[in-house]
Amino acid sequence: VICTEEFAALGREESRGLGLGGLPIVMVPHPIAGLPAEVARKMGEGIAEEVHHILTTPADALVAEYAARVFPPPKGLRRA
Amino acid sequence: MGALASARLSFDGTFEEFNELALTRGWGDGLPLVPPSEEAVAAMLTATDLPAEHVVAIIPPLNGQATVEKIAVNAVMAGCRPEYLPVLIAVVECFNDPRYNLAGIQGTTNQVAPLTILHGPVVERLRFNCGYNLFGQGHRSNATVGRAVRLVILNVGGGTPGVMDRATLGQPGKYTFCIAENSPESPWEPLHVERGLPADASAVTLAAAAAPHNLLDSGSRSAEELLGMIARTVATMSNNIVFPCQALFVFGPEHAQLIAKEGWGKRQVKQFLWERARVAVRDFSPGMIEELSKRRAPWFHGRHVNDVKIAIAETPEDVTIVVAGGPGRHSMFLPSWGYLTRSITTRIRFKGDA
Repeated sequence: VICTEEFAALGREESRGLGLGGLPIVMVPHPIAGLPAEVARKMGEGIAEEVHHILTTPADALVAEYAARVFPPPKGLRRA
Repeated sequence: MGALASARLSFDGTFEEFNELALTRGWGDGLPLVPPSEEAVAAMLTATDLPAEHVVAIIPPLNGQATVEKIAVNAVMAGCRPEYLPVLIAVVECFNDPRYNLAGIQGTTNQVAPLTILHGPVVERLRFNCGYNLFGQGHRSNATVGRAVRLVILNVGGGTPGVMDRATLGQPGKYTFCIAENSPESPWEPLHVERGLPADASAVTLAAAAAPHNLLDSGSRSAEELLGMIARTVATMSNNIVFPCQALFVFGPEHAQLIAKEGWGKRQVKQFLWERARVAVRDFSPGMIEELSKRRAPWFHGRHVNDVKIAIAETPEDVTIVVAGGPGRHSMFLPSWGYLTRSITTRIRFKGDA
């Protein structure tokens, strides 16, 4: 699963709610909407190695690795 | 009272101090909450036959269990009278239907919010407002039931703004959003009857709705004139037309009666709005046309892009009609949220019902 930095923590909590707390989530910078194709391609190249790692690593090892990963809180968050 | 399962919080302080604590803990919607004492929760639970531990729905994104007890706790905090509890339980039941897609609604950047619509005898019985100032202030039933729905998905489901609720802007209906159908003034069968329930059943429809957009027409003299005006008003680009979705119309009684006077039924109105309320794709920006060609691909098949017009709803049946509000020549249009949400209608079961 690929999420922008702004939404990675949301992706983690939703996947945890569904019993998939170790779901591999790859982060890209935010935002991605409306990016020119060449910028999006560069972004894709930046995560290619991690995606390759995910696709070639046994699921159990990935769960352990990603369950422990901490994703940044959303920048837009303002506490009540 | 000993049978309640919720964690107890011993709190020795004032109403204001309780509400400061609630803010710190992230329990509320920002407005003061009624403290959910054991006595108040127990009194709320007297309005249902269901056991307190009965799980009514699982509420995403955190998949919290909305037991009857948890619903009652939130109903107390929202200011509900105990007799409103069966209504709230019916609303929460609707969240279980995958067609509603609460997980998507909770996390989306869209402003969409759960809208509760009451039908049948419950409207009179619990004095829900179906007339003047329908979406506005003034009635405890509408105000607190709508608020309690929000508190359930916030406190049980974890829909905290900025954390799990990622609405870019939100809308005022995210505080409370509850209306009732004005059947006595409607020329048509109410929505719950259209959806197969008996007219004498109390029922609720849960929709996912954007903020209402007013449709003023004080001059049209025929169904076709009025519906033509409405179709041209709602066919705008930046409502949720980018996605295949439902579209909700709340017709003011005077508008509905003008249309029905000529013998038009709901089916005819839906068909008319679906055929006429369309936006020419060429009016979108090039980038949006590219998006639309993927998201609403069936509308593009076999047509040149300059000839494509997309409807505000995916099918005529996705145009939903309710009659409500007071006198005056106004109606409301409420776009929905894209892809995968459909409004759900269910019967309300009161204490003692079979």
